[in-house]
Amino acid sequence: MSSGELREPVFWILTSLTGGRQHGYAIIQAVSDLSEGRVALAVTTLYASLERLQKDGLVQGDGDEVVSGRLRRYFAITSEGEQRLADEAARLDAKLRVLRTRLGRASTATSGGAA
Amino acid sequence: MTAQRSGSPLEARYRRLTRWYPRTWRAANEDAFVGTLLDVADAEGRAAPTRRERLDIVGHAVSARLDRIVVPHVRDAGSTIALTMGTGFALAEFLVSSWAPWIHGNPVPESLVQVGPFRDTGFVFAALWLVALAAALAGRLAVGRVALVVCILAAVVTPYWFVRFPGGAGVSTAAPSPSSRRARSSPSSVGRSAVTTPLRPRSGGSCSASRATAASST
Repeated sequence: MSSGELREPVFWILTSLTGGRQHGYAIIQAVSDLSEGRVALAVTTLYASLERLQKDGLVQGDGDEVVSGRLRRYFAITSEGEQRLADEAARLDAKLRVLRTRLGRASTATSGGAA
Repeated sequence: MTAQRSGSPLEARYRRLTRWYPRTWRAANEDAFVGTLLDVADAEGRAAPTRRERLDIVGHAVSARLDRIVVPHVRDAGSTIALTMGTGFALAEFLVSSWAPWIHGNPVPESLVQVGPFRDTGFVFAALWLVALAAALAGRLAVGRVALVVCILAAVVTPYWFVRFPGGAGVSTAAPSPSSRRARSSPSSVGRSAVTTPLRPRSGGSCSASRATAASST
C-alpha cells in the first residue's frame, strides 16, 4: 500500500500525527497551523481519510475520552505510517532536486543566451 | 464561543445529519465524528451546521453507502463501462437518426426535412456525452459530471420546450429538388419515412442511461 503520492489531506494528517497522538479537532488545528492556514480540513474529509489510513494500517485508534459529554477519539501514527512518510519525503526530495537543477540550468541558459 | 453541551440542539442537528451514513459506520464513528463537528462549531462560534458541512456529510454518507453495495474499484469499472456505452449510443443515435449522411435531400418532398447533422437536437446530446467522456479520461471528473447533468436536464426539458414553442426548433421545409427526387428513388431512403414525419419534435433520448453513470461516479 506504499505506492503513489500521498494525497494532500493524508499528507497533512500523517505529518500532524508525528507530533504524538491527537484527537479529531486537534488534527484539524495542527494541519491548519502546519500548512500556514492553506489547508482547512473538513470534518468529513478528516474522518474519511482516517478511516482509509486505519484500513491501510498507517494510523490506529488510540483510545476514546469523554470531555464534557463529548466523545474525543484519539489517533496515533503507526510505524508503517512513519515509514510511509519517510518514503514520501525521499520522493519529494528527489523531485525537488530535479526541479532545482532544471530551474538553475534554465536561468543560466537564458542569461547565457542573451550574452 | 458558548460551549455546546451534550444534547444541545446543534448536536441533535448533527446527529440527524449522520443518519445518511450506513448503520455500521454510525455505530463505529458517529460519537467521535459528532464530537469533532461540535468542537469545530464551538471554535467558530456557530450554533448551526454550515451549508458546506451539510452537503459534505450527505455526499460522504451516500458514497459510504455505495461503497457498501459495490466495492469501489468495481464501481469505477461500472462507471467506465456505463460512460463509454452511453457515449457510443449517443454517437450512434446522432449518426443514424439525426445526421444520416448517406441520405441526400428530402426523401419525402411533401414533408419536413428532418435529416441532417443540425436539424434536430441530437448533436447537443452527442456532444455533451463526448465532453463527459473526454473530461473523465482527462481526470476532470467534475467537468464530466456537469456535462451529464446538463444532458439529463436538457433531455427532460426539450420535449416540453418544443411543444410550447413550436417552430423554434430550426425545422425547415424543403421544396422538392432534383437531388431529393434522386434520393426518393434510391433504395436507402425506403426505410427513412419515420424520420420525416412532420413536426414531430425529437430529442436525443439517449440521456436516460446517464443517470446511472452520474449516480455511480460519485
